[in-house]
Amino acid sequence: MANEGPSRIDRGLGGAAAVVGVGNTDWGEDYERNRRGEPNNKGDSYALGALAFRRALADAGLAREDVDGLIVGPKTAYERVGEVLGLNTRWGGQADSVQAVVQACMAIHSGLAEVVALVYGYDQRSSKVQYGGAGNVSGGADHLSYTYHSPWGLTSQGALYALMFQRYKELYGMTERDLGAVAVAQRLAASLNPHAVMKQRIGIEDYLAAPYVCQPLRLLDYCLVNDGGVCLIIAERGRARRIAQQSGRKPVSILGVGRHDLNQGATSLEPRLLHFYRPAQKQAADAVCAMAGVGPQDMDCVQIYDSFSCHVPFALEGFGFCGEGEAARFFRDKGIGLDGELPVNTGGGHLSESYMQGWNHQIEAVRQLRGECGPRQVKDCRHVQYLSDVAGKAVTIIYGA
Amino acid sequence: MNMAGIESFPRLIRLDGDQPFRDSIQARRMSLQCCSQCSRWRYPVAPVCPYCFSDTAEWQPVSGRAELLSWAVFHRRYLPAYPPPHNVIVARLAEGPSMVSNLVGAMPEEGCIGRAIQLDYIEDAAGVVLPVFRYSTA
Repeated sequence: MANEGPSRIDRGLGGAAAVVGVGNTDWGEDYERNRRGEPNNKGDSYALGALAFRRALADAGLAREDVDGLIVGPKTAYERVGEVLGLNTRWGGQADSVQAVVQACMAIHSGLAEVVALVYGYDQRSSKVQYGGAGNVSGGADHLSYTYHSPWGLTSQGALYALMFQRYKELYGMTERDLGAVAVAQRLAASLNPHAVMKQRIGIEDYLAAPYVCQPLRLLDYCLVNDGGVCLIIAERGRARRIAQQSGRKPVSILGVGRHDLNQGATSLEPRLLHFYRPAQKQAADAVCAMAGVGPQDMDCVQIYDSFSCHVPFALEGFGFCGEGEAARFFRDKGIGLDGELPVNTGGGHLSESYMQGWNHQIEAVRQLRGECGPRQVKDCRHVQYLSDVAGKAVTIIYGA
Repeated sequence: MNMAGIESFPRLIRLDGDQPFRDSIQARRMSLQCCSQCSRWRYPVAPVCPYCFSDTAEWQPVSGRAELLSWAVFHRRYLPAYPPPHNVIVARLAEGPSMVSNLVGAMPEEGCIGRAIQLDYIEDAAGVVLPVFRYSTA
C-alpha cells in the first residue's frame, strides 16, 4: 500500500476556514506575580482558558451562542471546559496546538461545525510543573522517549534536544555562538511585545555567559515556564467574512495544513538523531505548499515551535527555508530578527514571549497578518507559516491575510 | 563522572515482555530481540517486528560494539543519583538499534561523535546492574 502523499489531499480544506478572533491572558503580569511568590490573579487552567475565550469572543464580536464547536487544549478536561464556559456544541474534542487548528479546519470543511473555539489554559508555573526529574521517572509509557531512559539519568525533553543539537553541531559545524542568534533575536522581538514575559534585551555575550542546563544548551536556549491561556475562534470561510464585516477585524485565512509523523524508532531516538526529523518535515512542507499554493519564498515571517532554541535551525532546514547544514549561514547572511529577511518568532516565541505550547505562535501569526503588531510589525505581511516538529510529529500551517 | 558508589539507579520502566532484557543485563550479557523472520534487532522490547511485522523473535546477546551517536552533559541536578556534571550518550549498537546510556572512564568531549565505544556494566549499592559504555581500546 503506497503512501500517495499530498496529491491525495482534498485541496478544499485550504482556505475553507479563517481565524476571526484571538485572545490571550496577561502573561507578563502573571509571571511577575509568580516571581513575587504570589499565584496569578486569574485562577487555574480553566480560569485562564475562560479569560482567553472571553477576550477572543470580544475580539471577534461574537456571542457565546455563536460557537458550535469546541476544542480544548491537552491540560484541561474537555467536559469541564465546556461546563465552565457554558458551551453546548454540536462538535468537539481535545487537541494540542499541533492538531487543534487542523482539526478545526476538518470539522468546518466537513460541515460538522461552523464556528469553532480553540481554548487553551495552563497554570504550569503556579502549580509548579517540573519538566524532567524524579516526577518523570515513573511517568509510564505515554512518552517513552522522555521516560524510558531514566536509569541513565535522562528524564527531560531538554536533554533530548541537547543530544540532537550536539550531533548537528559536530556534523555541520554550527557553533554555540551561532545558535545564540536565536535567543538574541527573539528577545529583541519580545522587548517590543507588551504581552511578553521577558522584555529585557540581551546580546550574544549575555547568551554565552548564561549557564548550561544540559550542555550544549544553556538557560537562554530553554523555553519559559509560565501561566497563561490562549484562544482562537475559527469560522467557515463565508461566515468568517460576515463576522469580519461586523467586527471590523480582517479575517485571517488558513490556506493550508500539512502533517507527517516519524514514529518508528522514536524511543531509541533514531528519527531524531539519524534524520533530525527531516523526512517528516519535508512531507509536511510539500503537503502544506501544495494545498496553499504558496511556498517558503512567499513567507513574510515564520513562527516556529521553540521549546528549545535549536528547533529554529532544524525547522528552517527541514521545512525547506534553507539547505541541510546551512542554518548558521542563513542566520548570518539573511537574518532571522525583525529586520532580517525572514523574521522568526516575531512575538518572542516560547523563549521570551510565553510558553503556551505552540498556541501563542498561532495568535502571533494572526496579529501579524492583521497588521496589529505595532513596533514589532513585519511590513506588508501577507503570508505567515507555522512550523512545528515536536518529537517527530511535524505539522505546518500557512496563514494568509 | 564518578558513577561508582551510587546508592540506587532510577529503575527502568516495565514494558510487557521485557523480563529477558532485565535478566540479561543483570547477568552482564545484554540481550535484545532479533526478529526470526528478517533478522533485524529491536530496542526497546516490542510485540512485533516494526520492519516485517513478524511476531516471533529470539533473545540474543549483543556484541557490545557500538558507535557514539551523540552526547550531552547535565549541569543541573535532575535526579538524586546523578549530581552534575553527569553525561548521557546515545550508543548506536553494531546490531542497529540505538540506546541511551552513559560514558564511563572519561567525559565525552567535542569531536567524540563517531568514536568506537564498548559495552560495559556498573552496579549500584543494591546490586542492580546498568549497561554503560566506555571508549574502545581496540
